[in-house]
Amino acid sequence: MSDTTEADFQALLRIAGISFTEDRYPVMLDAYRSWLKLVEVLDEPLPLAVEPAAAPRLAEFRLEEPRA
Amino acid sequence: MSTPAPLPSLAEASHMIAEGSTTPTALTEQALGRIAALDPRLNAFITVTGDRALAAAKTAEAEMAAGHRRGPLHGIPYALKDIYDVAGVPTTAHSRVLLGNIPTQDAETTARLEAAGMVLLGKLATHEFARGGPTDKLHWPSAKNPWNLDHFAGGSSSGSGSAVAAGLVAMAMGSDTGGSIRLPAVFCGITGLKPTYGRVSRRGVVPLSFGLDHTGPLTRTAEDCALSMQVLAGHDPLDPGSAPVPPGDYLSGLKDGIKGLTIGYARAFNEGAALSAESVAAQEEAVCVLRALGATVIDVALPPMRRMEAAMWTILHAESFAIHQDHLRRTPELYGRVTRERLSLGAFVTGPHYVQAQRLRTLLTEEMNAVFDRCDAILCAPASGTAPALSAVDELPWRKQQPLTAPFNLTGHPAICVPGGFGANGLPLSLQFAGRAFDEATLLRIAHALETATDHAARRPPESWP
Repeated sequence: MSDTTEADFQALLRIAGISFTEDRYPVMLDAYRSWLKLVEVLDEPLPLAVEPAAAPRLAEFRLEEPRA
Repeated sequence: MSTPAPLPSLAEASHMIAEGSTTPTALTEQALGRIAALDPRLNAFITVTGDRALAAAKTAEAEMAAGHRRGPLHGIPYALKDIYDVAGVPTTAHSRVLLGNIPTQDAETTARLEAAGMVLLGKLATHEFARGGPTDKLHWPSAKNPWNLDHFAGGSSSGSGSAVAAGLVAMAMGSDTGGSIRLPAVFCGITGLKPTYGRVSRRGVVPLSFGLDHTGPLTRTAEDCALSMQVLAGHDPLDPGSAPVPPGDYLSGLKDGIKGLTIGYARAFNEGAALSAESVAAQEEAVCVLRALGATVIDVALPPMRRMEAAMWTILHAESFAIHQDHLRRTPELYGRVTRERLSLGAFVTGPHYVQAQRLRTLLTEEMNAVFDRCDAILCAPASGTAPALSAVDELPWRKQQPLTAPFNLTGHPAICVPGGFGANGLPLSLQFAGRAFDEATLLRIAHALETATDHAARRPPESWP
């Protein structure tokens, strides 16, 4: 299987409309590789009932203190 | 001309004004004199509002002479990280991007401090847009650590940490998206409180990440933090993240001691963080002191760091890129290199990953809440050791080690960093305590008890440097 990481990286920059100088390109590509590693955990399935957190996210704690 | 003495703490200054041994004008002149003497080396201030400060001090005096003292902070100087709006005073976020930006309204926090009668000394250096680093070449120099000018002051509220530690001011406001109040407090040897998400308004403060940004004070003592929170805390209906809860009372139980509290020691969290031996020793010493003061200390496990980091940085990168994408496309040259590269990481975040991060955050917040079923507060390290040398600060877009402060930005729980001793190099060590949502009062109680039982907060940095 061919490694498409660099092509994906270039595509994401193009879609975002940003670029870097040649000397910073390898640093940013390396950052992209680190990013992919970090977010692997986000590809793991979550229970269907889990909703995204919404601000103010600690709403349940409002029940602990009566409103003024 | 000799350098004026360090500013007294808020509590001391308040007492001195009440007994007539000082005045707002005298305090303001002392602060301005100290800034003039030391800030050329520290670079803590971007803007000094001297004339405004002296006029405000005189107004405070006139009000007090007429029998109207607004409260304990009336007439005492303070300063703001330069991302807080003050009507008529530039807000730069330490960036060329915002040159010429003069707000017409106060931030809600500014308005609260002004209503309390405090005297604004000026605006403080920050990492650019609270995201860059200390070595970026910017329009203004970066703030220095008064303990050693060649070492990192922490960030992004670097000017706030430097100014308070150096005694230029007793209280400065910072902001904290991943640790930016707490890390300057850690490396500058002072106290920094990140309140619960929603406790203190963010309106009128330049955003970095809507869901992670917190505003709060940096001070030399826990009591000063408590005094500040008495004014700062409260629901702001115009801030969509502000929680409609009562503002809380941070002073009444402050000196009650910690007997009977249960502190969860996050030993495994620390072990995974590659702490220096002296940082481990500082944590262990704190455990002994807490026990001696009557607290029960138990071991607790925090949610896995890998999951917290994935959720945290996905949200931060996506939201900060959304805020800056227009400027990053049109005028990227106006940013410092570090800021530009770090902000650009948001280009890598996909929609599904952002949603997954927010869902994971729900679970991780519940897991953190479950830890607080067993304890009143968590003790964990805020950094691996003392402030690194500036030459060793990680300025890559992707940091090798993520801040140990960030988990509590993700979950929104309050967290405070307090002095925890000194390393062999003479630089401060620090402790981090996190608490239940909206229970900053317990954190301040613990901080005050530790401060009273040790002499870690008493030592001052040097006033002259090679």
